[in-house]
Amino acid sequence: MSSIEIKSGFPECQTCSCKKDGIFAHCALEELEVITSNKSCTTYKRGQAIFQEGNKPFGIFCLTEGKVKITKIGSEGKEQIVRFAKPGDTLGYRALMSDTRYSASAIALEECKACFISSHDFNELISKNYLVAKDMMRMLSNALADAENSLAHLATKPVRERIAEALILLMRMYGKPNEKQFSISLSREDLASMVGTAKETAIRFLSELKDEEIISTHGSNITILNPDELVKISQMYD
Amino acid sequence: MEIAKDYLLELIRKEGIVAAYDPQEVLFHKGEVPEFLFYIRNGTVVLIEASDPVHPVAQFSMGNLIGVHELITGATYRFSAITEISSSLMMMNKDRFEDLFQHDVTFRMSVVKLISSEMTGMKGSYE
Repeated sequence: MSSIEIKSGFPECQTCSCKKDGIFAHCALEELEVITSNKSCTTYKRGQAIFQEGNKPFGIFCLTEGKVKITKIGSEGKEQIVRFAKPGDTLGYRALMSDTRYSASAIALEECKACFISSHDFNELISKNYLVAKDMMRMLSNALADAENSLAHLATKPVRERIAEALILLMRMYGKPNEKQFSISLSREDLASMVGTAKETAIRFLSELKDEEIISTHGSNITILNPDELVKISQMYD
Repeated sequence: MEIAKDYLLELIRKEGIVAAYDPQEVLFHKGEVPEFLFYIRNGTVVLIEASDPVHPVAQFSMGNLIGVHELITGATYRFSAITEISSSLMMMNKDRFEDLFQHDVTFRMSVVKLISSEMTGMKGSYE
């Protein structure tokens, strides 16, 4: 009989999306069995922190469901969204391996599920499996390269273009292959934080896009009706 | 972190080769496939974009390592590297680096910790 305890509602590591393209892609079956049996799994409500900036890491998190924003507190005490995480992403490994505190917070944008793997188990894995270490380094490197095209570059464009690009970015990150229209529930504060503008400005430009029937809104929900037009707007000043 | 770096440097000193560079000499060009890990014994190396050589992207000096990322990930260099002043570097061959990374657990963990630490606060590496 298998000694693996099945965590209800959470995937086994052997079949999880975190394994496919991420840090655990080159793990042996026995290694995944150990992780599965030792990990803890948590459901986070919208707005709940998975970890907080400034706290000490004790392990890593694998996001299995939901959308997460990664935020930093700026010099004026304002929250700034620096990137987003999606199911399959691993969070917190850099802080853990460098023995430093988290330099950002991970906050659930909607109900999320994440598995926590302890520092001990993760260090064991890296020390015994050099391919896992390589995959981790590759992920760090990709994150740095992606940052060149990330939100930080939005600052040089006009706000309307930045909002269009931010919506496209979200669609590319969270959109599903067969869905006809992309929708996301995102507060106006979060959208404003993404593009580095005031909430009122974000609302004004969203209204413009809505009037032009490029998007529709319902409460905090934003639906992209005309992605091609949105792409054109985002590239207007390129 | 100092322990991790010390172990790395000890190995590089034992196994690397010393190379002297004149000012404005190129270590590698953007787009090239990495062949060495570089350790700066003294001097200064800057990373530059070909389109804007006047404003370096990054600067490295005594005690810094250059090229670990590219060696591990197999990526080509994203920037060119040139010496600002006369510099002395130690170079470890890529094959030896990979061999150590694969078989020497202490070396591997040292590299992982060092790279993770050097990325702290860098854009794109927030957690």
